[in-house]
Amino acid sequence: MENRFGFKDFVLIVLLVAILASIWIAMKQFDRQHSQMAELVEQVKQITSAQARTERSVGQLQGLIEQGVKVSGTAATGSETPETSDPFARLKDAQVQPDYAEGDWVVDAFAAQVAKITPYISGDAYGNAIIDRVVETLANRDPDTLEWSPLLAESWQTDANLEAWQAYVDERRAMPLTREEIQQEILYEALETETEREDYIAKRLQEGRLLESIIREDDCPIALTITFKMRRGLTFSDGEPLTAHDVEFTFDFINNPKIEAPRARNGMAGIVKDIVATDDHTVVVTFAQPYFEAFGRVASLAILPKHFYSQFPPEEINKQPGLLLGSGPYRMNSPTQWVPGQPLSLVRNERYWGPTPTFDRVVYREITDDVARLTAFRNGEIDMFPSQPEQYVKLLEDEDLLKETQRFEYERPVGGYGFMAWNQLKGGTTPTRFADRRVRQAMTMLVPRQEIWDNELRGYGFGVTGPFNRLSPQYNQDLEPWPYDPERAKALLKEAGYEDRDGDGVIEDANGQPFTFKYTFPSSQGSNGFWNRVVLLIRDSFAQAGIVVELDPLEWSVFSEKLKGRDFDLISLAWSAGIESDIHQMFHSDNIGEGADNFMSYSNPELDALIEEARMTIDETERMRLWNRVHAILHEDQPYTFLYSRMSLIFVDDRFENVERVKIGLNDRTEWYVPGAIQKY
Amino acid sequence: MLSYIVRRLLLMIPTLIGVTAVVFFVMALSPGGVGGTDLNTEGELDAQSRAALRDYYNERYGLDKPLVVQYGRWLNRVSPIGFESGQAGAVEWSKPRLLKWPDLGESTSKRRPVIDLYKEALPVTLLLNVLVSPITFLLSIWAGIHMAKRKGRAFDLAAGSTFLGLWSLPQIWVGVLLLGYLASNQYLQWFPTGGLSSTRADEWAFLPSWSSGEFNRGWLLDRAWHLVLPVICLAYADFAFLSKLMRSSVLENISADFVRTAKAKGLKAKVVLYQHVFRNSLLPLITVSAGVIPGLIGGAIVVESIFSIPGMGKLSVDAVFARDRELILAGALVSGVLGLIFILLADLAYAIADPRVSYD
Repeated sequence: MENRFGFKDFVLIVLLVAILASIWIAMKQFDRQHSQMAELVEQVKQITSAQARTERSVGQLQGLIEQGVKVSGTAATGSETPETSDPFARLKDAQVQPDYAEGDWVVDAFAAQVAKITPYISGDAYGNAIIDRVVETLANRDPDTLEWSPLLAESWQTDANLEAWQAYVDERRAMPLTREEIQQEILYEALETETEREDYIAKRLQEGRLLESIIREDDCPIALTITFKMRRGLTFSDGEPLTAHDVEFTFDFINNPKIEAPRARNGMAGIVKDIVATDDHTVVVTFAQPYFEAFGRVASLAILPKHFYSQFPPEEINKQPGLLLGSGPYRMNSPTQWVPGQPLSLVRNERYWGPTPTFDRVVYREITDDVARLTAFRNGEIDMFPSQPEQYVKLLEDEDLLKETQRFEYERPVGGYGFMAWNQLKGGTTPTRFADRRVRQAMTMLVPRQEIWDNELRGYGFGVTGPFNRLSPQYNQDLEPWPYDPERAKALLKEAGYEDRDGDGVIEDANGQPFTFKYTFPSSQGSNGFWNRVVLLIRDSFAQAGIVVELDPLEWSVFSEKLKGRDFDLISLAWSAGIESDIHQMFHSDNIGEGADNFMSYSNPELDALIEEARMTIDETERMRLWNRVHAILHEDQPYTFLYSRMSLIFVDDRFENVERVKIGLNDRTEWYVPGAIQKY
Repeated sequence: MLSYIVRRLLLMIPTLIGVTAVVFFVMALSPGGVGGTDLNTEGELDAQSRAALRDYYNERYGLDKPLVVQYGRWLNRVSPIGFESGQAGAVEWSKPRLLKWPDLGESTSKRRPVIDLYKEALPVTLLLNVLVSPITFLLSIWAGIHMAKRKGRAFDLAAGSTFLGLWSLPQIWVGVLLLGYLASNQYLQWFPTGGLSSTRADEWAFLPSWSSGEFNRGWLLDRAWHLVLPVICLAYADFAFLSKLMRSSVLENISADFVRTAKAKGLKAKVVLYQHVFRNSLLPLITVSAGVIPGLIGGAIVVESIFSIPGMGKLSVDAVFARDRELILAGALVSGVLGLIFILLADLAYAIADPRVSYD
């Protein structure tokens, strides 16, 4: 066998070289086109921004002209028109700073991959962070006062019709329910055996008419009407005008049962009756019942462009990962093309109706590994790094890092709380020893909470006495927190019938049953096994009082199954809170049934009545008084032991200016800027 | 040969049903509900949205039906021969279909069609493997042959112990070390921390370029730069196993009779080694690669997490944690099909590598 270089080999090599060369030339050509394209894009951007400026000034002129007409023609409306505050006042202050400059990027990191960024369809928190930059709402919370201030809407007016509504509801409630009516209910039709049906009828006859069905009746008067006046000259990022019809469309979009938006749909159900655009600039919202969050529910709707979303069938909207177009300061480069795994980069909306947005881009990177995220922040690849207390304390000793960053420690009015929930009805049937209020109070006094705030949360945790945020007016500031007092706790337990009867160091009840129970907690719940350490502390403290605790760490999906079946003695978890939160879901006895969130089967008729009343009270001062009373009852009853709330700890790259603490937490990054000389991108 | 292939293909069907049935029932009977977690970024729960999602899942995915029915519906959806599927996957007996595309369903945690998720993750994983496999195989084969040639000498011992040392380093530790030393500005910042492209790579040209004295690395080079650390991390451990396998196989053949004959004929040592011994020594490697390649497509869980690469491994792990039934079942099906196909291909490859093997 001899290998000689023949003619055939020569031809082959020539062919190969030719192919490689043509690929090379094709790539070159592609690159040339690419640079031409980049130039074109840049030019289009300039033209668009110039056009947007013109449109903005025309819109303002139009507004001025119409206002002029209004002053001479109609009388002022008189009732509740909010004082018009400028949503961009803070940004405008920043823009007159001498070193203010447009440009540069903000790069943030997500700890997980984002699956969907279609508004209302996306479920994950990270997806929503992106959506919030692109779509806007009728009103938003003023960062300094926490009051609602106009954004897309320019003003609104509330007309209450509460007397007529209440009269109708009372009248219908007084009317007894007939068998025929019950037989038409959906729940009745789902029952199969005759005995079940009879039981159901008996139960329903006793309950009488329910509020939720009364408000669905055709004759039921509207409880509340809010009329929104839209701002003039609003446009979406594709240049189409934003009008009242888009608001109406958004409501229809959410209520379309074919669209997979169960969260938003449930939030509206039974509260908002209809949203109608009476002309291009007026939206009339009618409410089926007075509900304290009524205004917020509508004001915080992200307004979707009708012309864009109505061109897709519902199946397409559900299936596509990213259909995202709105009126916000930033936009997706292409509103339909995004798929998970591609860079999440929002570009400046050159047509924005407000002041020109500062940054060229707002970028979100997906960095799943904790070490990698910190390294990326050190390298300057990402600009923000929120950290857990333990890590934060360690990083405070890192001179190199501190030199290049600014850091913020703050309490947020939307920060939640961690708690221990005492199950009063195990498996939903068997009463436990925690059904006794004295036992729950004693247990709370046995938990060394101060130690958790100081050691486990490194001083960045603090106590709360109830389910409301400390910064919210819902929070009752007069309540004295339960002390850590083992002696008082032991005395209380003795009073409830638990003491050490056989001298083995464990306390028993009258029947000699030792006081032992299982403590169920999520084993790897974010924050580096926070609960794993806290439960040890708590177990030791209980043991000193003669109570034996068996630890039961569970992986998340198993944990939620236990929660659903009420199959636990004590669990720990954290709820999120809001500027004003509704606690019906967790503490009202209506939610004791399987699957709902009163999983400790806590019931207090006085509290139930107060929660119902507060939810229906529109007047804010009165409502806050009610929430304060709710808080006091929960503090006394201790259905939960409220463990901790924590501060947000965040590092921000040093090149950003105008990063400030405001009442809502940290000011929005649309207000930050980077002086021209130190711009990075 | 053809009848053998057909017989093997038909045998795959009951095997696959068995595999997926085990996965389905183990999943269904283990504690924990279907559906993603509903935690916010702070690890707290939102009570309002929890309530809204709860019933929705049951209705949408037919989770309230008996397990056997649920499994039957799933089989009907993925089978190329069967019936149309209706609401929540219900079998419509009146509409038989002879040939249809398997419907892998919709992921419950990501709420998107499984097939779309695979279309995004598979190319990424394939890219990694296309780079890693040749490196590991070529280097291992080369090292294996030379270790056998210099059996007991310094190279054999040095390479053998180095590879063994590398093999015993846990990937998760090496990954973090690589990141901490080679990608951090505290030490050597030679490589990026993660991802597949730089944040602004999408606006660069494809090829590297110099314009007005400034170097722009371009999309292609940027991608290669991002892949260096993950590829190192994926490749280093496999050398030990494959090279030892190659070494012992070569040694076995070198002392065989036909080699002595070939040497006696006066053939050059090189020809003997590379044309006679080498070919015969490849057989055990073929067996092993049949098992390795489907595993590679399953993705590299650890490396993908550390370097934030959205591949198949991450997809599967997320699915398991979220109890995402559709995604896990589809994963079992796909890796089952691939595994069986590659075993078949390996069997056929024997026939090519070794003329004595025949299936007729």
